[in-house]
Amino acid sequence: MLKKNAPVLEVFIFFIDDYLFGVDIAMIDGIQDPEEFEVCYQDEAGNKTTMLLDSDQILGIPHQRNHQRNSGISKILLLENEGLLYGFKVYNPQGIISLKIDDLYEIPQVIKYLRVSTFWAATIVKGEIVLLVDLSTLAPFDHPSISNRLD
Amino acid sequence: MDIHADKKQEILRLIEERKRAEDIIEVDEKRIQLVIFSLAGELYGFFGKYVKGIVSVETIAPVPGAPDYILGLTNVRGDIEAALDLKVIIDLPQSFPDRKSRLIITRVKNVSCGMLADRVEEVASIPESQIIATGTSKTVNPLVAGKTSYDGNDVVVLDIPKIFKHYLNFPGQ
Repeated sequence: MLKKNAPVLEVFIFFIDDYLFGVDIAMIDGIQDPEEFEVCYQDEAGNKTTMLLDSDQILGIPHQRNHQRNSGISKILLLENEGLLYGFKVYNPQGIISLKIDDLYEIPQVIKYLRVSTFWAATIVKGEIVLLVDLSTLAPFDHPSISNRLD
Repeated sequence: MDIHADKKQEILRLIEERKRAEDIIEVDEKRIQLVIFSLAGELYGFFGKYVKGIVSVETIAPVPGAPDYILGLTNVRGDIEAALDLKVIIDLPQSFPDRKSRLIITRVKNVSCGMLADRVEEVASIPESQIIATGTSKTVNPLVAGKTSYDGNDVVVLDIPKIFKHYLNFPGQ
């Protein structure tokens, strides 16, 4: 049973454009720099065989909002599915924080009615609202959101 | 004896008359609480029974993929509420919130939601008879519950349950 005052989640916080997200680190299989990820997926002939998930498409981020994208540090969250590793690119990592039950909020029902199964809870960090992303809802990774770009 | 009986009858008749008059006054004085606010220079109202609170606008965090009438999520006294842009809903030009903007926290059953207003004018108690239902004519915006006046200006009363139903896919009508 979860104790109210004990930390229940370790959450990695990051931005994509103006949006602030968090992911339970128990849901991911590692965090890499983009360069490391690229090297991992080069074959012997030097061809890149990256399996990068399109985080914009998955999180529903409009394409016109990418002005901040190139200015910050980026990381790749690693997700293993059926023996394959996939990458999920995020920007401006803010570190890992511990959250207790009292720090977590349900997504308001209004938002739940509209969509958005990708977000399962929210928290407030330094006055900012962070949407917690459920990466387990992304599997299986066989849809068009997989791309070969690492830009 | 007869005089006394007549007097008694007259007194009872007057008491009855007074009571009827009081009843009429009571009916006339039945009042409805209305939260009156402005949007793009026009006055609008919500029935008070659907309003849980009125707060200043803090930072609103956008939710990716949400339609344009959902501004995002905001921290209301340590809780997280969704914020809607009423101007988009009733087809008025959008504008950025300023220091006079307020979030009117509305609730239907157990679902709550913040509605952004340019400013809140007053929480007024209006005689029920002065709120004119707009009916169901096709020419009337279906989100309008009625009309009234405040300080000599027209006030359009918006129907919160219908806004929830039409814009939030709210099933609990």
